Amino acid sequence: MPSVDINIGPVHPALHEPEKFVFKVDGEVVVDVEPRLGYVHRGIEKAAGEKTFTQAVYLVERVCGICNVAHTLASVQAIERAFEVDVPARAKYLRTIIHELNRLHSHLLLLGVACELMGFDTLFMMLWRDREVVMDLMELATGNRVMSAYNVIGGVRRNISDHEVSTIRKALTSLSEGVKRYRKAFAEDPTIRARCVNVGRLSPFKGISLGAVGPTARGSGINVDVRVKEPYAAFDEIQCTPITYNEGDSWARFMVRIDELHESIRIIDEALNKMPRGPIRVPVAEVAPQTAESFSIVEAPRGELLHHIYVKKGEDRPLRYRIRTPTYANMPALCEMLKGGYIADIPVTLVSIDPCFSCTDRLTLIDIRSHKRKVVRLKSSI
Amino acid sequence: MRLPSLLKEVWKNLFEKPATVKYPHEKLGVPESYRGKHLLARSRCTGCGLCGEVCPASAITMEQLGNGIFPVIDLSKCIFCYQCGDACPRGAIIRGREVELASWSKEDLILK
Ligand code: SF4
Ligand code: SF4
Repeated sequence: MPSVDINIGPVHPALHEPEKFVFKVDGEVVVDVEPRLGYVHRGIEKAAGEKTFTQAVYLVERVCGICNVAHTLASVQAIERAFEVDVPARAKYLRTIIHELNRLHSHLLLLGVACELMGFDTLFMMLWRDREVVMDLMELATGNRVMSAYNVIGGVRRNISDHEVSTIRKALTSLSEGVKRYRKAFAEDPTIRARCVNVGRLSPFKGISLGAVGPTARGSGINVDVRVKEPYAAFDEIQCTPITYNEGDSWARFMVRIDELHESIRIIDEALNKMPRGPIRVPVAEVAPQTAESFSIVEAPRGELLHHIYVKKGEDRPLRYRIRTPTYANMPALCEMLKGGYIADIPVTLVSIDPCFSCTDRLTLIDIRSHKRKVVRLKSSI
Repeated sequence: MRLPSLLKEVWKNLFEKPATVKYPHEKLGVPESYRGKHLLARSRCTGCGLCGEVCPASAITMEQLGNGIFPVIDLSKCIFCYQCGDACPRGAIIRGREVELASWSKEDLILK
């Protein structure tokens, strides 16, 4: 029997963002997947080239609201490298702390969404209740719940007082108790195991050859973590252990994230202990002092995130700004995971890579001969 | 069959205070560090226009008000980054903590 095409998206209850997938199915089994990206393309890279360096940081912060700290961190690091600016030590620690708080909030959000998709609303509510603790800490430390506007070129915007340090410590200790209970639920609960174990498998070989990044890769036993391999901010002085699971299924990818919650809490604690005193910001020239190309890679909650810029001497705007986001890197691996699975397992597999389509949609191809603009299908681009 | 490990917590929740508050009647407030509606100290302002230059959202325009040129902030465009406050050499844009800015008309959101 020939396979049937099922369109899911651009607007569909299982997807939280507008994105379309065409599934070729044979009965209940998915035989092939064709993702169709581009519904939330906003032209941020082009727009960043028309803003001054200071303004571009606020623009790229909006590539993705959830991992905004990772975006600003990568952006300011790339600009600082091009400008050859040294950031004060305290600022590096503060950046690390906020970066990890951001990861806590992102992982708790994803785990909650995953529970909701599995129909486990109790755990969803509990995870999101505890996520509020992290949001309150973000608000306390940066001045806003979501859009932190914390990393600025040359340092950070705001210092953390000793009183705030103790508030953060106390809140994270109680959060850590909760995370222990949720870990137990994820590891043992029959509902979760029935929905996740052996669903959406990705072998380490496929993971490496398709270029998976972040928790998606680490769930298949691939030891990649930018924080360890290419330490940035204060990670050269803070111990960070990459979490890997060898199972390679959706369950393993969720377990990686839940263990990373503990690891992030530990990293924040260590950073708060080791944080030196001193200035948090240095003044930086508005125009580029030299023509340069630089890039910066950070470990965003969803995986490796790259910001790449070209600057020209005497210009106050980037010549070219390029961003590669983790979900985009994970798309080929996602297609591989979905193949051979059941239709009913699509939402769980999809959510297990923590997809963020608003960051993914920045690729448009222009056909030079016909001057036609078209959004590339991933299949044709790999 | 083993009991799910969360059952105890679920049971406890039945007798606990809700995690949410009834918003307009009960408010949580914002911390000291919150970036809310600006306070413009016009007496300190020299009208240099630096704040309008740096604003990433183009929310600031310089307008003739009384006997000088002063910044006017359109809060419906503002992204509350406080880059303007950072740029101001005279400290004339002060961080405020007001968050409830919803309004029926856009004119109410023009801050002079
Ligand atoms: S807070 Fe930011 S967006 Fe708002 S007026 Fe100031 S510079 Fe512009
Ligand atoms: S930067 Fe400060 S002094 Fe200059 S116009 Fe703006 S508020 Fe006034």
